Amino acid sequence: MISSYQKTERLTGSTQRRQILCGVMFCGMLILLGKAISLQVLEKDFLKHQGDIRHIVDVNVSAYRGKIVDRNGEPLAISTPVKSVWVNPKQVSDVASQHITGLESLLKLPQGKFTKIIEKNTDKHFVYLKRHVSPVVAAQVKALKITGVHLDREFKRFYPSGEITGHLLGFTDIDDIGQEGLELAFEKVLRGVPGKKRVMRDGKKNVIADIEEISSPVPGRDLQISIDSRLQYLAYRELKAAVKSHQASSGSLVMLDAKTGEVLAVVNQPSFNPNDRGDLQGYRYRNRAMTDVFEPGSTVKPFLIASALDGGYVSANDVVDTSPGYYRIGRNVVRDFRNYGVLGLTDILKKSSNVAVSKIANEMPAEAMWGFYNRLGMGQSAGVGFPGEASGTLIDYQYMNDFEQATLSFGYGVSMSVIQLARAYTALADDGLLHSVTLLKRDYDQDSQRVFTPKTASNIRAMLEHVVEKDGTAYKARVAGYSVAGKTGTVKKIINGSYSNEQYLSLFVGIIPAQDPRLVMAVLIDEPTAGDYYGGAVAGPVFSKVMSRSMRILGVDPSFYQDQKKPLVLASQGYKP
Amino acid sequence: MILRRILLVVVFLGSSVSVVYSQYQARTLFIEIQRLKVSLDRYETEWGQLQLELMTLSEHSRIEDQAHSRLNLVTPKYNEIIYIKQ
Repeated sequence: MISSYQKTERLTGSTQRRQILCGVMFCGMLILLGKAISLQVLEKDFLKHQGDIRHIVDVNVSAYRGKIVDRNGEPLAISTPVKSVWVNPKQVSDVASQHITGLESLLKLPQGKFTKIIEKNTDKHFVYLKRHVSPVVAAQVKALKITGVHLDREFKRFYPSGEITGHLLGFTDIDDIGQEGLELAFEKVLRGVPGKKRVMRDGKKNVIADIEEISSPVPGRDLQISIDSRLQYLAYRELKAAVKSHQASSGSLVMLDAKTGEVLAVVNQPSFNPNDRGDLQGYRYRNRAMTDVFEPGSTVKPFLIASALDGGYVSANDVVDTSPGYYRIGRNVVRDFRNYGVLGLTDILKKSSNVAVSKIANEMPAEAMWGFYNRLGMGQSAGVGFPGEASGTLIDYQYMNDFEQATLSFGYGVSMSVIQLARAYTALADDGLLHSVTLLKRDYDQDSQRVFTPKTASNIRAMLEHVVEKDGTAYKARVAGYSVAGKTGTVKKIINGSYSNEQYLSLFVGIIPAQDPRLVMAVLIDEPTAGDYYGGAVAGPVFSKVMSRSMRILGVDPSFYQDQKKPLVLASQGYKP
Repeated sequence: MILRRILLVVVFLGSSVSVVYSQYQARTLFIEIQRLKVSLDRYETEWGQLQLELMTLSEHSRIEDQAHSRLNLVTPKYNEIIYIKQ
């Protein structure tokens, strides 16, 4: 009995226990299932997203900035890949001290800087240690294998011609965005569009794999400019030498193609090296040839004579009596260097007589004279599109009295930049057509405007050839083997509101070869203090030195010569370098 | 009926194998792309370095200096130049 009772008891107990156990297990299973459903179905998107953002990120891929090349394809500005070293302070822990010193000396950081950076930025994931290091240094940094120190690829801009093209090209900032000069003016063309790619990272945020490319980087377009780097170099070298030897405060030079209006060279002093911007100061990086204006002085006299000829106010054979060497207009007096007596038009330009041009100017209605000056681009920007380009000033004819009109005839009361002056001379060089100027390469100028008749323009050039004769004002500007039409200017600077007798601008503008012009060049030397200050003595030799070589480089046929032995020209028709 | 089922199973198996295979191929190609990108990067860097070197060596002032000092070249006067017909 007992046993049977016991058996039943035992049986019942075990059944209950089994049922409880089963129940508990079933509940556990339900909970697990529920959790699984919640994780896999209900919260799947959220959790997957959370997981992804910890491991999958989109990173930028830097794009290549377009090259700037000269008219012959020589590179003037190129971007090359470099590495930037950065650190994730959260990953850095007990780095061997010799590694830190090694890193600091590689990156040229002061001792202890690394530790300082880490301590300062413990809550950050990204701090630059040094940007734009050379590939050689980058490889050495990589070899140190310091945890948390990473390398990124970036581009750095290099300017192979350095200070020679500094003002013209300008420069970019550390993020490769144009800041000055052409880099700024053509930012939209040169700039690439950075791409994006999706990468997978591990828990320590090291990139382990590229997943996909979202958008590929679009490289910037190359820019071909009108500059000829050979002429640019020559111009720079000679201008620098002249500014130095005359102890001048600054200087500018612009060379234009007489037929297309392209800028072939534009240089300034003082200059700067865009590759090394440690000593960057405002006065160094201004492109004076484009941004600074001055009174052009005697260099505008050819325009006055040309206007008077075309307007019918004088004829080619007219003479002007300049004695006694000064000319009274109301309460004011216009003076010549000395009494030149009776002068023909050619001698007016050759001697640069203020009295004669004043008398001619006063024969002309103010409006007519102003009209010619205005059409030559005075008072308007040259339209190159360079940042900070100056437009200069030209007094309005309605408010002009006779004396002001006279001063305008010898280049006071009007201001312009060197590039505007050079541009105005294209009207004389290309038989009366004033060209638009551009820094981009082109074969033909579609925006030229007629200012003078072809006959007048070639007449004036013939007159200006006498300026570089032995008794002209710019004998030193002559170029052996080539005829030169040019005009000097020696301008008194305005100091504290009145014209100074001690500080001058020395100018020379020339056209070469005079009969069939190829180039126009304007040279300005500001405040020469070494003795000479006449335009012909200071700026003239620069013209001569630059042009004699430029003619050879461009292969211009030296068929027009007046002095010395004839060069043996077997033939030069159709000669192309 | 049975034949159709067998056909379905075969198609199913075939498709799963091809999925696996194409995944494998994609991975192989991806690795190849990565490898090529790394070498492209290296070549680009080298190209940049070579360009800089070329530009430094062919600088106008350097060439002029070398021509004068090392080769003793001089600029001929204009009347020493002979132009030859082409």
